[in-house]
Order: sequence, then C-alpha cells, then structure tokens
Amino acid sequence: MISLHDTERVLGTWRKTWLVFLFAGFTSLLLFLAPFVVLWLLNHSQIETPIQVPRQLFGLLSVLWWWSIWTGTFLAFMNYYLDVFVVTDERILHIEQHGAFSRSVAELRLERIQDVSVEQHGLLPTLLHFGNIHVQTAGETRAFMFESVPRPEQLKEVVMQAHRAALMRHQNAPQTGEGL
Amino acid sequence: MNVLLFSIIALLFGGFGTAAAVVAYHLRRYAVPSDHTHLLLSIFLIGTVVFAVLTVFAFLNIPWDSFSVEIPYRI
Repeated sequence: MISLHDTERVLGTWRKTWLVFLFAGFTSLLLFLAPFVVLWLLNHSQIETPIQVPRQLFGLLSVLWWWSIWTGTFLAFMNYYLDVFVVTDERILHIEQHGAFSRSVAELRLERIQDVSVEQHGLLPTLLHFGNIHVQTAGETRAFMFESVPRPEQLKEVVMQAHRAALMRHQNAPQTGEGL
Repeated sequence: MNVLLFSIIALLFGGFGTAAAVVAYHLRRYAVPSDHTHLLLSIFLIGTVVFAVLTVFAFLNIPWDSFSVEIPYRI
C-alpha cells in the first residue's frame, strides 16, 4: 500500500508492459503440458526406460509438478504486478519487487527533476510502443529508470507537466524561513 | 515407512503453503488500492486449494504397501 500525504493527489499509475509477463506465462504453459508429453512418449515410443514408474505415482508427481508451476507462475506475476511507477502532484514513486522478500521503494520530488528521457530500442518495443524512461535529478549520479513501460512518451508528458506545476507551486509558495 | 511418507507430504504441503502465504501477503499488502487484486488472489487461492485436494487424493490413491518401482540391475 502507498501512503500519500494529506493533500497529495495521484496523477497516474504505470506498470511494465504485459509482454514482460507473457514470456513467464508462456513458459509456464509449456511446463504445464510436460507430464502429458512424458505420458504420451512413454505410451507411444519404443524406448525402454530404465525405471518403471507405476501410474498412480506418476499421477502424484504430475499433480505436484502442476502445483509447483501454478505457484511459480503467481510468484512471477507478483514480481510483475508489484513493480509500479506512481506519479503524484508532489513526487514520483518507483516501487520494485525483486522477489518474495526483496522490495525497493524510491522516491523523487518533482521539483528536483532536471531531465526526462525516453528510449526505445529494437523492433518489438517500436512496434508495440513500449520503452524505458529515465528521470535525472540535480546532484544525482544515478538516473531514476522505469523499464518496459507502455507508451513512454505519454508518461514523459505526465511527468513533465507535473514537474512544471510543482515548480510553479514551489515558486509561488510564501517564503516562511529567514534564509541563510 | 508410513511415517516417512507422511513426513514427505507434510514437508511438501508446508513448502507450498508457505509459498501461497507469501504470494497472498504481498498481493494484499502492496497492491494499489484502486486495482482489483482481490479477484486474482481469489483465483490463486482457489487453484492452490484444488491442487492440495488433488495431491491428497493422488497420495491416497497409491497402494503404498504393494507397489514397487522397478530399477534394472544394470543401472
């Protein structure tokens, strides 16, 4: 769950393109079919297997195999689904799930942004309109990067508009301190 | 023999149960509020319960006292 400040408003939430998860999903589907392939090969091929496994045991192993794939697919989905890029009217949040027990949340104030760039390399990103977005801040050597985001130009526009609005608010805000 | 088999199945259930708990916890705890994550979580949990029942069924279906795995002498 993201905790927002009292007056903060979410402008948008972005995830990586669904194609990122498609590869994991397709692999899971292939692995799911593996016991059927093995059964078909055992029944139809002339190859002599060194170990004869009884049918009931094969059934149990298949169920355990499918259960593993089911759980693994949802773990992969969790990794995909919980990677989020949130733009609010005050800041950008980049939440990244690295695995079951590893998670990072990076935060960036909008008025600190210096440069936003978009990159699309390759045939698939160009045809399917996804790419990477880099957000560079003043004084930071490491850019804020969100990979494989769908329609990165739109996200860039949202970030730039929010940045301009934040700068305006920052300049118009009454100076409360006495300064240095 | 039975103790060993039930220990193995208990370990498997423990492992799968932990993995399911991890997925459920993360999807509930860190989801964006406006998303319909609860639907996906329900599908996952229903699938997990179905596989657990199937595992128990497959486990009980094996005639543990009479069956044997044939391993040829040459290997």
